[in-house]
Amino acid sequence: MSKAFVIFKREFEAMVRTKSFVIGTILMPLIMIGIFAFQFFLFTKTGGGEHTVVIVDATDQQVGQQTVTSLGVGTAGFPGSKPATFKTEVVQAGGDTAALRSGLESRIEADSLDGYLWIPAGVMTGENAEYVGRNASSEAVTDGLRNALQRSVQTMRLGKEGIDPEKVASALQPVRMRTTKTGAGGARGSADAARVLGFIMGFAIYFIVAIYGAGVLNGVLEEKRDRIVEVIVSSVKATHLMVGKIFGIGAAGLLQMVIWVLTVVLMLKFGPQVVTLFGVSEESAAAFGAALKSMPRVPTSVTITFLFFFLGGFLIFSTMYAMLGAIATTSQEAQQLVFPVMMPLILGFIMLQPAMMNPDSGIAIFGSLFPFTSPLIMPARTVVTQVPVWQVAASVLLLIGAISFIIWLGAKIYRIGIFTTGKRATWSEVWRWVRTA
Amino acid sequence: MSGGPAVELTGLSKSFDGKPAVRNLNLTIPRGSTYGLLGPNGAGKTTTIRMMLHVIDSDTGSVRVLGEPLSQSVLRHFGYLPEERGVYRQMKVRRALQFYAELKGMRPRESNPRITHWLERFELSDRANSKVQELSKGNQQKIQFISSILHEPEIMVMDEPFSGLDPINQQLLKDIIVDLKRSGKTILFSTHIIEHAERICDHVCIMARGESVANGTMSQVKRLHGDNYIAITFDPWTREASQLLQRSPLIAKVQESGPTAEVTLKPGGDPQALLVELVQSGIRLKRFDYGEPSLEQVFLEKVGAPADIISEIEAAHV
Repeated sequence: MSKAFVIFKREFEAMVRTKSFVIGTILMPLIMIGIFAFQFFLFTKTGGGEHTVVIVDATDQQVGQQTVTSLGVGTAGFPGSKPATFKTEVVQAGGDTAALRSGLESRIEADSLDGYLWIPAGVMTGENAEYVGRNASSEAVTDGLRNALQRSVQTMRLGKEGIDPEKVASALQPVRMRTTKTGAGGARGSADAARVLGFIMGFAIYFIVAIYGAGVLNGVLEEKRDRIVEVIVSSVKATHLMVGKIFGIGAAGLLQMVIWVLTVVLMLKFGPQVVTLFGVSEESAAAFGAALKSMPRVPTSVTITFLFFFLGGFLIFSTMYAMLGAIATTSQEAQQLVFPVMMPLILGFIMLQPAMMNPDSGIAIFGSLFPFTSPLIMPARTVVTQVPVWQVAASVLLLIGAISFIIWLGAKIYRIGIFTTGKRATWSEVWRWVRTA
Repeated sequence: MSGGPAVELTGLSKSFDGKPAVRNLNLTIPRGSTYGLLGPNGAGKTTTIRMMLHVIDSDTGSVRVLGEPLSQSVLRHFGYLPEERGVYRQMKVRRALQFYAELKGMRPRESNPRITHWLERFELSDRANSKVQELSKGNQQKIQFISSILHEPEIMVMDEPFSGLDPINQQLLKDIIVDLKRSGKTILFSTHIIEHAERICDHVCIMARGESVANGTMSQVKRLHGDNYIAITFDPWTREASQLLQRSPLIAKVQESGPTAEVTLKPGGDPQALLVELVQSGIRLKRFDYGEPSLEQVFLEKVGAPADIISEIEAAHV
């Protein structure tokens, strides 16, 4: 059995047996499912319901009455969520408006009213309407009222111009658009969902690389601090120790990733059944199932790209972390050194969202070619757009080139650095190691 | 296995940041010998051992192990106990030992019976499933020792093996070294405690400032000091006795410690004449031993640096 494999096995085992791995692997999907289901639950519960609202009409054109008629037309919400329904009462404003307001507010306090919509006299000419109520932060309520008011004001303005109200109503019929992403490559399905999926993929790579890269750093520091490295290097080449360690820890990260991906796959398949466990009605669960079906279908090529760039990103960054571990002598020193390594990773993360919004922009193309950001950007881009083959090929070659260079450099620094103790090596010393090793 | 000595170092040198740590070192460690590498701190012992084990590369010179040039494959003949010990603290004892055995090419089913045997010998059987960090420091050192010996290496290399061990465990380690020697293994250890080397070793090399200042069999090295060596124990020590030694025209050098003095005669000095001089002065003696110097005597003379200490001792008695 190769000695590097013995190291690999130990590192993998040591990582997988830690409490944080077990907790992270099991708890993370559970938390994600929980949050998802809870949000869905909130949407379905808070969105609907009946709201008692007084509409105070200060106009003399019956805008209030018109608004009541328009309520409930053309509302849309989260799949499976219910639009708000309203029990309304129209009051004509006049006389002491302050007294009217305080009267309404005391009814709200007494719980016999949810809120009131104040339609000012100048609403037709652009004066602001106002909604006051206990549920004023509920989008379902405010959206419902705003849409109805807007529709009735528009209808009345057009009516003034002599257009038949029925024609107006049919002209104002809301248009709904569902966006679907297509193309030869990439994922097919809802474009929004593709963006979310791309972002999640980029984030997952960022997260795992940062966490497990730090694992490599701590491992190297432990071997240095506890003088383990000397015994191992009397049996194994230093480079093999480094590579075995990086791959062992990387394999643990990959395992965690695979478990998470499987959870997502199972969630997509059995999501509706899962949300019913959280008290969601079967009807809403079915709507949820339909929403899940609009999630993009990820072709195998995207999965392969994802795994390749995940491994590439992990190798490039964890080798740099291993170098840092070899240069530093304490974890405090390592913390000070870690920023230059983290910077390109953070840069990639910052570029991720703009790249998802505009996947064919210059910055997205640059980000998906530059080897320190491509592990985050390229797989995410392949989900949202059809990346030209030459770009994928160039990105892969650049990444492989960069990995080879970093491992070559890392091995030189590592095999000398791991024996330094006492004080942190200066950069000029490190440069000497590179030249002499 | 091919012929040749256990380890042969030829012209070995190593510098760190331009400062020489080991200079042109030539050593032959015969098979089956118990070889002591002696020297004060900073003499280059650890650097020599690290180069021998391919942990670091030498700047010049070569290492041959059992007649073969140094390579990854000959490293399996070594068992190595470094000075500053460390095992993965989070690992369980048995698993950690299996891991070190695997690095030397042993599968767990081969290493397991040996692990059981050694844990029993060190009275650690009940800790096989404990995490290393739960063990006392002394017990962690025992685990480290077991890890270096599991694959039954031809050559055991131990850097300061006795440091940090209590007297009982020092004795245990000495017994094991004697057992290994009886089974024909070559043992190399470094120490700055001369007494350990004197009791256990049959060969020694004294290093100072990166160089070998004396090496060979124990008696060869002692003979380098010359034959005019006498150990005297007074009964009791008196100021007069001490002054007589300091003044005697026969004596080149005196080193006193308590009631005992180690005396080097001037060339041609007759030990019998000194004995007569002492007895006639009415000084009572418990011992008058004309023979080999102690290794410590040779060490102090060859290493040189502690000469200040010798003169301090001398001054204290005047």
